[in-house]
Amino acid sequence: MKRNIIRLALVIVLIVLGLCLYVLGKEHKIFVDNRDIVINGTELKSTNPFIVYVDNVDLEEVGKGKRKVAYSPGPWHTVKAIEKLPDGTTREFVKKFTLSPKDTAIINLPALVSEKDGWLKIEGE
Amino acid sequence: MFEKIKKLIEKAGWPRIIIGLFLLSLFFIAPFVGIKVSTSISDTIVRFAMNAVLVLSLVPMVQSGCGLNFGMQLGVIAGLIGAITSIELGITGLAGFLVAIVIAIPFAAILGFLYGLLLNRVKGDEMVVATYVGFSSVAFMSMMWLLLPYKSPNMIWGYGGEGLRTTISVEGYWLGVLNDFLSIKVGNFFFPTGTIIFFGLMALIIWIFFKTKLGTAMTAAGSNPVYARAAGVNVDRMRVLSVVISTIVAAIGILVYEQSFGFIQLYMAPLLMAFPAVAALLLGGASVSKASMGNVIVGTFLFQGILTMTPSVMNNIIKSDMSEVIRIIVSNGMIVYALTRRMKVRT
Amino acid sequence: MKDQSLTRAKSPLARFVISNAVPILFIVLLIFAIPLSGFSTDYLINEIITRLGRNSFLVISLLIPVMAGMGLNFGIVLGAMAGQIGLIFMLDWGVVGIPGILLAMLIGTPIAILLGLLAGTILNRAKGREMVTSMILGFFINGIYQLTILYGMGSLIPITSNKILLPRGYGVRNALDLISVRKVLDNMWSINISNISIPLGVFSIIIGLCIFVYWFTKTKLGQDMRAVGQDMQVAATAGINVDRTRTLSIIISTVLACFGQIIFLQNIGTINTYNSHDQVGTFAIAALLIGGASVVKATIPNVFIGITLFHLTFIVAPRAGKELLGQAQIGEFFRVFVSYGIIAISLALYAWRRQVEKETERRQAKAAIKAAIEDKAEG
Repeated sequence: MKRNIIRLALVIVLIVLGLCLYVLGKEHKIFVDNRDIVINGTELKSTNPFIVYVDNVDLEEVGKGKRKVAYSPGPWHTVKAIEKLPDGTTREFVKKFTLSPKDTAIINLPALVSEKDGWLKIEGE
Repeated sequence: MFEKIKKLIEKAGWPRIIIGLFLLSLFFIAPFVGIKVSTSISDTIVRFAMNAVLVLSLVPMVQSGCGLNFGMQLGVIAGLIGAITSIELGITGLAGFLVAIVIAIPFAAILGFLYGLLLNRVKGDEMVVATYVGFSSVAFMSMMWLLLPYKSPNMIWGYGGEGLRTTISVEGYWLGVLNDFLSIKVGNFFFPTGTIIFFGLMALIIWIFFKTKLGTAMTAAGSNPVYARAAGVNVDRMRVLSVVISTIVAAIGILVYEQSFGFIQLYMAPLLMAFPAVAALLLGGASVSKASMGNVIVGTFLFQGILTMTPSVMNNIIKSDMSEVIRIIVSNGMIVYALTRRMKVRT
Repeated sequence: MKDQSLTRAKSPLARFVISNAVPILFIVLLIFAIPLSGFSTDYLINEIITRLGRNSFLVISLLIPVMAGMGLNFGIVLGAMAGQIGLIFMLDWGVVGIPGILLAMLIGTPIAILLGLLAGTILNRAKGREMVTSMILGFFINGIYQLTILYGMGSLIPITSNKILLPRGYGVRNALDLISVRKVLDNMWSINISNISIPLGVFSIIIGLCIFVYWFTKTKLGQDMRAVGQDMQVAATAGINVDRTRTLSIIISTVLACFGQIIFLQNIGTINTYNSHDQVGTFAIAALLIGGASVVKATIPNVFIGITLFHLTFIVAPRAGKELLGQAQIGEFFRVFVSYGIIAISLALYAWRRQVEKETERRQAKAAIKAAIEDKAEG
C-alpha cells in the first residue's frame, strides 16, 4: 500500500513538473506595432521610430507604421522601447507583462508612450 | 469436430492463420477497389518464383542446426560475381545464365566453406555472428565493386568513371530466360513456367538429398548432435557441408531473382536481403531448428502474396503507400515470434 | 589448446595487448590514417569533443544490460524512438529551450518504460538468443513507429502544428527543425581553451550519468544484476527474481537511450523523423566494442575510448581512402565495413571463447567423473 502511495505521489510530482516546464518553456509570439491606434475614442498617431527590446530579443528599429515580431518563452516579459525623437534625443519606456501559455501579445508603441492602458492586447487561443 | 479444428490451428500456428486470412481478405477486396484478380495472382506467382530459391537456400542450415542463415549475403555476393563476370564475357541468353551459375558456384563453395568453419567455432550464437558477418561482407564488397577490373561498358560508370554501376541491367543478356521459357500468357495472366520448373527441380534435388544417408546424417546432426556423434556422424563436417550447400543455393537464388527482376543490384542493396527470406521461411511454419520444402513453398507464397497485394489494395483504400511499413512489421514480427518459441535444450 | 595458452600468456605486456587487442589495432590504424587524411589537429580535437558530448549518453546506456548478462542491447533503438516522440510533442506544443528538452524527456520516459518492458519480456522468452532477438525486435518496433508517425500523428494522436505535419494533414514530415532547442545543453555552460570549445553543460550531465551508473552498481538491484549476469541458476537459488531483474536492466537501458537520443538530436539540430534512430544501435555498439568492451564486460573507459576511436575512424576514413586509393567513396564504405566488421569480430571472438569454455568444462567434468570411478574401482 505504501509503495503505491509513493508511486502515485511520484507520478503527480512528474505531472506537475511537466506543467511547470510547459508554462516556463512555451514560446510566445509578441507583436510590436508602431501604428496608429484608437483607444476609447481618442486616436493616437504613430510619429517616431522606436528601438525595441523584448526580453533578450533585440528588434532594433521599428519604423513608423511597421510591425515586428519577437519570440520569447515563459510567462513573464519585459518590453523596453526607446523612442527616437526628431530632434535627436531619446525617451525610454519600460513595461512588464505576464502571459498565459497559449497567449499571443500585441504591443502598440504609440499607446505605450502615452502612458494609457490599452498598449497591450492579449489574444488567447 | 472442434477438436480437429483446434489441432489444425495449433499445428499451423496462429501467425500463419492470421496472415493467411489477411491475404485471402485482400484477394476478396481487390476487385471492389479496381484491381484485377488475374493480375494480382499472376504477380504473386511471378514474385513467388523469383524468391523461392533464395528461401530454399535457408533449409540445409536450419536442418543441420546452424540456425537461420542471416549471412545469406555471402551466397548472394558469389551470385553477383557470377552474374557480372558472365556479362563481362558478353554471353547472352540461357548460356549466359548458366555461365553465371557455373562461375558463381566455386566462389560460393569457398565462401561457404570459410563461413561454415567460422560458424563451427561459435556454436550457439550462430545467428548474431552470421548477421554481422553478412553485413560486413556487403560493405567490404561495396569497396571491391569500385576497384575490381571489370571493363564492360554496360556495367561501368559512364564518362570515364571508375568502378561498377550500382544497378546493372540484364536486358539483352539473360532477362527472363527462365520466366519466359514455356510461359503461359492469357490476357493479363502470366505464368512463368520456366522459373517454376527450375525451382521445382532445385526443391526436388534438395528433398532427395535429405532422403539420402548424407542428408539424414545432416538432419541428425541438427536435431540431436550428441546422438548423431554417438552414431558416428561427424557433426562439424555436416554443419560445414550444410553451409556450403546453403551458400551455393543462395548464389543460384539471386541469379534466378535477377533474371526475373531484370537488374543486378550491387553495393549496399544486398544488405538486408536475408531478412525477407528468413521471414518467409518462418511464415511457412519452419522453426529455428526445423524446415521442410512445404515451409518454403507455403511461406514464400504467403509472404510474396502480402507484398504484392498490400500496396495495390491498401493504396486504393487509404490512398497512400503503406506497403513498406507493413512489410517491415510482418517480416520482423514473424522472426521475433520464431525466436521466442521455446527451444528444446541442445547440449 | 590454443586459447588456453593465449589467456595464460606469461608477460603482463602480452596479456595487456591481447585483452586490449581491438583498441590497440585501431590506434595503429589511425596513426597511419590521420596524417594521410590531412585534417588539422585542432579540427579533429573539436570534432571529437563534440561527438563525445553528443554520443556518450547513448553508449553508456548499453552498460547496464551487459552487466546483467543480456549482452549488447541492440534494442536501445526503442529508447531512441521514444525520445523522438517526446521531441515531436515538444515541438508541437511550442515549448523551447531547456524546459523544452526536459519536457521532451518527461514525455519520452513513460514511452521508453513501456517499450523497455516489452523488450525485456520478449528477451526473457528468448534466453540465450538475446542479441539477435533485440536486433530484430528493433526492426519490428521501428515498423510500428513508422506506422504511428506516418499515419497516426495528426489523425489519432493530437498533433496540430503544420510545421510538423505533412501537407495532407496527417503524418509527420521527414525532417523537423530543432532550432528552438539547438545546442541548449551545450551552450548552457561552455568554455573555450585556445580555439577549442568545450561544452561543459553536456559534459557535466555525462559525468553525472557516470556517477549514477557507478552508484547503481553498488545498490542491491545493481548487485542482483551482476549476479544474474554471472550465472542465472546461482542467482535464482539465491532468491533473486531473475526475469524481473533482467527486464529492469532493459528498461533502465531504454530510458537512458531515450535521454541519450534527445541529447544527440539537440546537438545536431534536426530530426530525421524516419531515419535518425536507424543506426543508433549499430554505432553505439560498434563504438563500445572498439573501446575494448566485450559481450560480458563493459566499463566506462570503454565508452569514452571507444567513441573517440570510432569517430576518429569515421571522420578520417573517407579522406584517407581518397588519398590512398583515389576514391573517397571507398573510405565511406570502409567506415561502414569497420562498424559492422568490428561487431562481427567481437561477437565471433566472444562466442568462440564461450564455446571453448563450455568444452573445457565438459572435458574437466568428464575427467573428474572418470577419476572418481577409477578411485572407486581401486578403493
